[in-house]
Amino acid sequence: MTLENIILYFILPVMSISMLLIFIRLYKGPRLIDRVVALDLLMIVGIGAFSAYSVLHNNEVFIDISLILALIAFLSTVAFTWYYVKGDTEKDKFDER
Amino acid sequence: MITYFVIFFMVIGAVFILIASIGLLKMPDIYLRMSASTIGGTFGVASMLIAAAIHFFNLGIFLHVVGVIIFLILTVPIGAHLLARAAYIIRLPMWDKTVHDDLEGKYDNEKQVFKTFGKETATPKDIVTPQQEN
Repeated sequence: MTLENIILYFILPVMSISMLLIFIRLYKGPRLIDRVVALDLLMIVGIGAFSAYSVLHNNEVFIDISLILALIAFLSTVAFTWYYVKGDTEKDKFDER
Repeated sequence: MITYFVIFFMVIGAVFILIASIGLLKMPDIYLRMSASTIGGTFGVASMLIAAAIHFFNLGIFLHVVGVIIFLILTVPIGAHLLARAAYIIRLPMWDKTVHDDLEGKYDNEKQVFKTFGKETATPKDIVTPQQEN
């Protein structure tokens, strides 16, 4: 069991299965904010997939992507919540909890 | 020898990410989903980045990975807190079996601030600070 075998046959399939589960939530999500949480987790899982891929190909360039991806995930979440609170998208439906 | 450390951290990270995605799929409520995805995702990705740093064994890569991990630990809970605040302001329904809601009736949705209850809550003037004696 070398490192390449473990990454190819265990790590990357597990990441793919988790991405598939997140995509199911992204498709099912009863409301908009569920989909936003799914997209946020999808970008974070993408950082882990990039690091596994860089170890597999022994290439350091993919590590550089992770910082940009984390920054984009955070900024998109903040921007979305800003407009979600401001707007009247779903405010009227759930007046009574 | 280094390879075993890389395998160890990478397997732990992958398993944590799988647990986070299962929690995101199976939890009944938006708040519980957010909790599961935040904790598991941050820890799993941090573990996988540590594995990459051990594999390359380079100072530049190490500093880069430490920066990414600190950035994730700082920003992912802030994003989850903003999402939960937005969900509470929109008044999304909670799970049926939710036992307790601490914020119930204490939050003004119009002004998006906490309500104050007159004399029942202590204003900063009322709090008596102990005087220091030299």
